[in-house]
Amino acid sequence: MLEDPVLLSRWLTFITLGFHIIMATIGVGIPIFISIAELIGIKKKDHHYILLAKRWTRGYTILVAVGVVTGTIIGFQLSLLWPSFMQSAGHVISLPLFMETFAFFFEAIFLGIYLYTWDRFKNPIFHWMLSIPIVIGSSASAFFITTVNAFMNTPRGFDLENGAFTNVQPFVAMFNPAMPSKVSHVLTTAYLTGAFILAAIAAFHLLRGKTHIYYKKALHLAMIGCFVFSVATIVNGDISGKFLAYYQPEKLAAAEWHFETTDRAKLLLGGILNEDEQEVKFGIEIPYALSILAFNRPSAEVIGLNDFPQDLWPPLYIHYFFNLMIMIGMFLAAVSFIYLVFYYFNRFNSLNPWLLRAILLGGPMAILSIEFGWILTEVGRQPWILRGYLKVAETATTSGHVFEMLILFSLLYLALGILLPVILIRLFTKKSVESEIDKHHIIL
Amino acid sequence: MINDFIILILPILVVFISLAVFFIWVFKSKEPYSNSSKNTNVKGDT
Amino acid sequence: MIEYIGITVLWVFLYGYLIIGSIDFGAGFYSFYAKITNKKHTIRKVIDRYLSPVWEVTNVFLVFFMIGLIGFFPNTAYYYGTALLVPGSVALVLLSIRGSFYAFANYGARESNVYLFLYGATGLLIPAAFSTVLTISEGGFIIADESGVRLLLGHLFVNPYSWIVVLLAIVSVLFISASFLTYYANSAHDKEAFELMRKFTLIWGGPTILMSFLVFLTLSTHNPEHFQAMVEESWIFVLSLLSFLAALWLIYKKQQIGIAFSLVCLQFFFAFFGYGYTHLPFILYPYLTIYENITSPEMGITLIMAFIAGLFLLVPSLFLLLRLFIFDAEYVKGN
Repeated sequence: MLEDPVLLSRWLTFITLGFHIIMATIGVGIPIFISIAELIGIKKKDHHYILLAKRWTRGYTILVAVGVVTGTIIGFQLSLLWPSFMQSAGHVISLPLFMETFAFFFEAIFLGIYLYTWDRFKNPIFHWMLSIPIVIGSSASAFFITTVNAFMNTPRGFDLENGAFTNVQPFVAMFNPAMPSKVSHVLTTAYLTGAFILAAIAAFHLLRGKTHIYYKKALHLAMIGCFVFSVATIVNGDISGKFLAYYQPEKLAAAEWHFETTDRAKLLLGGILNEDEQEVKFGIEIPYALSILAFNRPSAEVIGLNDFPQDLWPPLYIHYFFNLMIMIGMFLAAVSFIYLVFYYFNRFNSLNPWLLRAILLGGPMAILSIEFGWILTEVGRQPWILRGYLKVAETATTSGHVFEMLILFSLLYLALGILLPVILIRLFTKKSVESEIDKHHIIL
Repeated sequence: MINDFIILILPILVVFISLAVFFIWVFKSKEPYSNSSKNTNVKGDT
Repeated sequence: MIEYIGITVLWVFLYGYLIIGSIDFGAGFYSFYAKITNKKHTIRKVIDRYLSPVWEVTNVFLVFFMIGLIGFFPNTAYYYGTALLVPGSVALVLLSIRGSFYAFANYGARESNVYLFLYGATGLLIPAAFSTVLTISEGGFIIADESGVRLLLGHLFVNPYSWIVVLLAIVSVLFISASFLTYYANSAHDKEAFELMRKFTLIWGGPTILMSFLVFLTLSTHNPEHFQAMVEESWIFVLSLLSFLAALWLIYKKQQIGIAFSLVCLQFFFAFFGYGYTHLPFILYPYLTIYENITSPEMGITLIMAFIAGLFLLVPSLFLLLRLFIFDAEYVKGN
């Protein structure tokens, strides 16, 4: 195993991306909350919201810094570990890669300006306007990079003749069928994760006995985001199911352990698979649900795995990741829904400690769900790296030193993974909210 | 075809609609917990 | 035509990285130097005021170059990607340590000598690592045959040319950075920092030119073809030398420091573009040329269009950044 560059390259890519997507997701999700908090603060002349935006920005900046680092790593690692893939991809899908760098460039410039100009404008609305390029830049980066991933699932916009790419149409490649559902899902889940992390921080402080209205304002703002974006995530998650059923049926079938093509297909939750018999034990079955997920009709026919040659099956363990992702998504939606019901109906206390605990749990759960969903979609594409054209095994580096690099980068991520929370905690405990609010009063 | 609309157009609309709903909701809702904050600092002179 | 536009765009970005990156890398070194010699307040403040807002932008130039290279010349991904796994990974780890520790030290709570040391040391190691890619591009270190592409790391380590290039990279970084910080300290009316950085500029000026000559000399045996092309275009390198002498003269005389720094940029502009121009048509000698490995015209034209559209977005933004932090007298002074 230690000599197989393909497997090792997959592992190294896995840990790099697994680490990077945490930073990337938060980096895409949080700017909209910073921006809206600052705008509310300016419009309602409420300096609590301004302070909220400031403190969120501080944490955000450190995460972005680490995200820049891991993003640079994955940018280069794609070429270092998958040279043949990048060679092919370079021919067809380099446009969004190129534009992603532009979008990130744009974001980085304005983040630099935004951070250091809090008090440099007479009219604070000018400072708020600087946050718009950050929001656009970060979401646009997510958009462009997701188009590349979508392209790997549904490659379009070229002809392959004797190993050479001809008739290349960069925009067709970019706007491939997988793009809309993937982009939508990536963006709303990033907003959702950002919201839940911010809500979890506020809930944590409230649970610790802080009573300042600052935390309650933060919680409420974030929880509205949690609810709206969890609903959006469920909607486009459903659309993603329909996309899969239509364009990439083997991925859906593998995720659902759906072997025989049938109509009135059932949705399976959990279970243990006997692969030889293709039988499932201990699973919960929901009649018609898979047909509805796939085609919105209980009677629709869903293609099963047995219609595909077995060497093209994705690994079947993705079923569990699929289930876990959905369960966490439902949990997040339920928590935010309950919070809003409690909040709008005065009979309940929306700051109930048990509810706050559930919100606190929601933060790490949201990140886990991002990881599970990402594993589902990447492993579900196996054995292909460009579905139908190029297999993962054909494109890995032939170098014999991947194992050493795996160790090297693992140590790096371990160090960063320990230092990052330490630094963040130290940063936020050094200046408490209360002291900053008091200071602000003196200035006013 | 309805399927193409759902798969290729609708998801993009979902993003924009959810952003719009979020912004409007946050702006239209009244100040949260404003009547239960007597035990804390009163808001600034703003 | 597309191949020329493509390589020019890429080279401009690499030049941008060379200047901005050098300022950043060198500043890390001077920052550490100031700390251990207790000169904290003279140059640290100047360095921090410049670095804090712009450091993330630096990295993007590099990523941009890499992505652009793969976009315009996809085959480079295969050759360089396979060959550079080990040195590339090491450079990436150094870059990561530098970037994250800068953020930790700057936005985090505490200033730590360990962070500063890592920040300063990686500032010199990273340019050394990157410069070897240019060495490798001269040929002789990569073998491509039926069994794939391999890098002859051993050859690289015993080759005089590769070591001279590394030394040139390091002294250039220190020289460019010192001349910029001289200018910045001058604008900030920080006399102490100005004197110190001026001294460093004068100190590193000599080695920079010496190493450049040595690079010429060793290249003549390492890649005679490229050396011959350089001799034929020697006027460019003469211009580079003249810019250098003029810059050093102005800094020595303490006059027109802004122009002096521009002349340093010009010095490297001539040298870098002279080097790049005579390197053509090879991207990797002798395997990759820009003619045979250019991407399809459809993709090439689209990339150029995207690039132009991107410039309309970036140039005003960069202008704003520079206006607010580099050329804003009040900010530079620390008000």
